[in-house]
Amino acid sequence: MKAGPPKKALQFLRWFCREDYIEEIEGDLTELFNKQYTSSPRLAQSVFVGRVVNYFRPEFLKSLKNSRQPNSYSMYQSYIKIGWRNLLKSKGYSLINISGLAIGLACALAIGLFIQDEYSYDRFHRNARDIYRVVQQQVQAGELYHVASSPGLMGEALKADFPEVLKSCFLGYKRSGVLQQGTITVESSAITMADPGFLKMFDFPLVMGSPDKVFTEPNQIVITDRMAANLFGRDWMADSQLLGKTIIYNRKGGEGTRMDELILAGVVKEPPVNSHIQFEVVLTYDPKADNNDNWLSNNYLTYIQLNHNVNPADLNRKLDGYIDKYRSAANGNFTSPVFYLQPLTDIYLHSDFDFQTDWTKTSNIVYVRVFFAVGMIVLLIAVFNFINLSTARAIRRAKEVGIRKTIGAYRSQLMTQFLAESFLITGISVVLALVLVNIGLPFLNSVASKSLTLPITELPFAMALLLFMVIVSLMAGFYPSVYLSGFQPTKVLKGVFDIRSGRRFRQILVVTQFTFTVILVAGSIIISKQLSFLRDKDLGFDKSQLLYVQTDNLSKERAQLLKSDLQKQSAIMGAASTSNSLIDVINSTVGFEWEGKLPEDKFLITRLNVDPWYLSTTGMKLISGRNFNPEMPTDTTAYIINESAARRMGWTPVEALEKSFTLHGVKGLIIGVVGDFHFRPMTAAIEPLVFSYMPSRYYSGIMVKAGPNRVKESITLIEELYKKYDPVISAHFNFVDQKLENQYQSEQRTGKVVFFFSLLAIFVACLGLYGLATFNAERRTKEIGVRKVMGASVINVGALLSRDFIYLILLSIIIASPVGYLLMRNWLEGFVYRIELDWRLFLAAGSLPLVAAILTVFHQAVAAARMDPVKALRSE
Amino acid sequence: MAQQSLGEFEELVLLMVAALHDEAYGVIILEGLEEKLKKKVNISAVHVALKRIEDKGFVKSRFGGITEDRGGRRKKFYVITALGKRMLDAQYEVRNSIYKQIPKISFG
Repeated sequence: MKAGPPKKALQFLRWFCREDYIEEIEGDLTELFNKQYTSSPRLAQSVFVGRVVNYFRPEFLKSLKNSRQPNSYSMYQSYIKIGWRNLLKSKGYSLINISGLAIGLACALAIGLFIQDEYSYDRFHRNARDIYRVVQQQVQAGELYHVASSPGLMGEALKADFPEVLKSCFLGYKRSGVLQQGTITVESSAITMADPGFLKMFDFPLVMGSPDKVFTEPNQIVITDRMAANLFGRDWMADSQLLGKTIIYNRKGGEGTRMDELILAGVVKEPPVNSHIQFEVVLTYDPKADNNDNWLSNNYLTYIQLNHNVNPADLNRKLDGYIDKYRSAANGNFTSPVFYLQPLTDIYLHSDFDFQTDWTKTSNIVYVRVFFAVGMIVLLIAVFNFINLSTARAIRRAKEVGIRKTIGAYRSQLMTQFLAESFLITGISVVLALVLVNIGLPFLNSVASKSLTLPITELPFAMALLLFMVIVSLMAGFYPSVYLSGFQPTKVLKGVFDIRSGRRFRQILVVTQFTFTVILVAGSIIISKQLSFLRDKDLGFDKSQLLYVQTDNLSKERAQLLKSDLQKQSAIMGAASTSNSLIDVINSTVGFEWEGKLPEDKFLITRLNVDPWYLSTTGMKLISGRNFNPEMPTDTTAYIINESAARRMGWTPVEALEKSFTLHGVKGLIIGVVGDFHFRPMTAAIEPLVFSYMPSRYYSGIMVKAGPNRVKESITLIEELYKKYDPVISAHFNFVDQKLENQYQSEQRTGKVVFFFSLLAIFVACLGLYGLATFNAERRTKEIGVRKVMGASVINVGALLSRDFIYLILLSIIIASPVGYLLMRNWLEGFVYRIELDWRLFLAAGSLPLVAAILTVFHQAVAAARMDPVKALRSE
Repeated sequence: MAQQSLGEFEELVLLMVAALHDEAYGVIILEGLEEKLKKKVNISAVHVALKRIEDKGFVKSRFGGITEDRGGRRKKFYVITALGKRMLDAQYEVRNSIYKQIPKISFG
């Protein structure tokens, strides 16, 4: 028998080749094959395969329209058509389904955009994956602290000691100052310092200048393009002589102002919004500055770039105890800190460092997670609506399913049909959701202080959206399609239909929906309660009409003169020098001794340098002893401590008086004890604190208490008087109460978002409930008719129809309360000072969705009950 | 030249179709070309060229009878059209007239 050409190749050819060509091509190929087969069968086989492959090109391919299975293609068309007709047939349900799903999708999309933005931080650097920040854990007075900064010698030493470290660089802390160029002065509060490695490691491109030449000389300065426009005018780019120009930098610092003449070495592009490093001006790193060329002070942020294939965990292991090698030589008295690497891409979301050592822009992963959960919940509620309505209304499709099955449809085909319908509805919802997001983005941007856009034209976004759509369609459509396609044709066509089927499942979904809703509502109530608790809590001082005026631009003498000028004004009730703004005071030390201290006893004490007017200006209360007295020269070595400090040192407020206390070698007596007051956010307990009165030491500003209703006047006075002492820079001041509130910005933001989303959740859940209730009423039209004829009132019938739903929602409240309690207790535990969780809170939280649900269901039930029973009973 | 273009390989196939008048189909054309050109020719290339010149209207085709050799598939025969013939004539004219202009060159 003659062997034919290879079967597989022939099948392949027949599969792809155009119908009108296959006759000729296959014929010719077979003829050629047969000719060659007689001489060399094996060669003929492989040549045939090669030739077939040769035909696999556009000219010979089947067009996609006349696909291999024209049948199933037109079936899909028909599914969509039938789906569309079903949508139009019951417009009410379609509206509920689509609007609910659109809201859910819009929430998920908006939150998705937000999260994507949060995760995009610092990923624009080409070597982002290989860059790490060197951070440390320190033990101070028995407590573990995380510190973001590191010793000045760290970077170079790491590079020298470990071959896997490719580059290193420093970044100084953020400071403010004034730049002067000709007659133009510009203030900046984003001035930092960097070494030559900075621009080589990070991708902040230079618009002008070369990365090899910047930061090489001590007096070089690099500014952002925006700063260049401010200093040199809009046309700064046109100036070919720009580099090398002199800029005068007024340095703000503890010891008055200092003017430096700096040479402009480069103009760098403004850092993108999604960079944790934000700056306007970069000065050249000077190792002597801030006493940074040693192993003891931690003043700068150190970044290193590892070789591409290095595992950071290996280096982390080597860093354990690494510093001992250098520090033991310098000073052996400290507990060794443990250094470790923090990946660059983790910095924005996963930074929680003590002592304000991390000045960079950071967020909090917890809130990202909360937002994610909230967005998913709203979406889930909408998806459950879809499932519930499709299965509840199954009876309407049962006949169709029966007929289709009788005619010969497979179950899989029916499933495909119902999935196609869910795709259709999801597709419409996605389009609507995009419109909603577009409308809602400005609101989201203002709450989240971001500038998100809808990148609809970008391919990755479109792909993600498509994938998302498919997932949601499957989530919403899978169960209904299994359920609907499972009907037995003999039963449904006979009209035997178990009305109760799937009811339990629907009830579970409704309970889940309302459980989530109640949790969201409880969450937003508790967040707002806690926030108002924080706002109204007695801080131990009077924050109202209290202003903090920065004076670190002024010399010590001028600041003193300004203070006494302010004190003379009748509009101002008090003015006092201070070393801190009273907002999150971080200036603690273990360098102190007290009478009766045991050698090992150590703790951190926060120190504030103030003056005798401080207590009266801030309204703090002495509980024993006396205030500083400006007339008594010995008071400049006296101390006032807070109640916590007295307790920690083992004294009652009265016992503490006249005890000796030595701070950084300055020995003095404790003359007073002040009542505890909050100088840190409520997430921290009140810790020991000591006031000193050392006029020769550093003061950062003046606390000013404005008279009642004379705040505006006081502000004008502050501005005018300040101008007297500094004609160049205007006064910088802030309201203490505002600043205090700003500390809880992310909590407020979360509260707003959770509140908004819980409203949406209630709305979407009630939408679904409305659909179910309507359906229920329709189904029971006859029953209602009979009941009314027998004398039931509208209220009776309404109650009958609502009862089941009310039970479900009550059940949800019962389930939601303990879950919500645990979740919110977890959140509240982050605050040392917090509200007590009360069961009544959950009752209140439950009542809101409950009332909404009762209104929804009852309205529908009453409408059904109002119907003329004659009509209902006649309908057959 | 005419608005219709004719590629080099297409021209060869068209010539072959014309030469094999009424007997031309894929395999015969391929063999004829291989013999004249003295090199291997790809059958798929022949088919592409045939489809193209048919689209351009230089040849027309018809199906022949079923033969044992072809696994039950019919042959597709190609015949040159009047347009195709005119095209070949024009091509020939052009080439010939330019060729004649070549001065006598000796490549000693």
